[in-house]
Amino acid sequence: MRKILLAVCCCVVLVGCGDTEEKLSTFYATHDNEKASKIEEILGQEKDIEHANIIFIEDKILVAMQVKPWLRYKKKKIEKKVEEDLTKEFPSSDLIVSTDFKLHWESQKLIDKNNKEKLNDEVDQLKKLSKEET
Amino acid sequence: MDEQRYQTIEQQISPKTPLALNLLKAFLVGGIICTIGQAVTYFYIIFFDFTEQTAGNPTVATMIFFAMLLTGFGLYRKLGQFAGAGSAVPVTGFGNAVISAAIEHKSEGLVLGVGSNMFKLAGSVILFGVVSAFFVALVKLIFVSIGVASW
Repeated sequence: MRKILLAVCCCVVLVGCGDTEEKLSTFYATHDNEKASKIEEILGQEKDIEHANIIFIEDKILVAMQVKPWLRYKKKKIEKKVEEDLTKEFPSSDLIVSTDFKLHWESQKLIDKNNKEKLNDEVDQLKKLSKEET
Repeated sequence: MDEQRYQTIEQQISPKTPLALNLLKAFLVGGIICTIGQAVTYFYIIFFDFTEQTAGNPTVATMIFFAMLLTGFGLYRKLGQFAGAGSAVPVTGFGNAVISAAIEHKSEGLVLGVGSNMFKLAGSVILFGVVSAFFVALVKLIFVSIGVASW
């Protein structure tokens, strides 16, 4: 019994160590490549982020991030910092920056679906969700 | 037998509390309850329109519902005997306190029995929870008004 338990524990720890995922996933519904590379550069330099999904639509940019596990308590701070950095670079864009798991999950689904129809509506829906407080 | 002698004999005879073991049990069971709570949160986030911020309320309600079912079937008592504070401190302990008081006073009638005794134990939790939340919010309001903190 103990040996089985030890083996299971080892497997769990080793699976937890696997870190092959790329840091950024991007989905373009626009052709503004300059904007895209700039935003990827900014987020790539951010050390506190574990993974980020970026969706571009015309004048809208959705950035859904997951912060590193030990920095979860600083989520709002990191969110604010990234938002400030991006607002400085893209003052005319409609920015949606969030560290919420829901937005990350849904944006990943949108990226995987790879469908540009209805994308605008779905991003609007996510924006509405991110503003809910209770 | 005088009082002092009785106490020394009582201390000699009664078995020692296994403090470390109790702590470990409470830690493990409390941790498992919180893990289930986290799973429920993810369930609400993934399958419904809840964000991390808004999923808290339905999660708490669901955990209390689970605790109520377990109390009704008599299983939470066994868990409480095994884990002690590990099962009482999470929000499930609150559900257990409500429903066990309701079951206990069922024979006295629905209004004067269940109704008036249901929150006998948990009532203080609600009262002090609301009062302390009010004061914490007041302190935060003062800090925000001064400009030290932000909402």
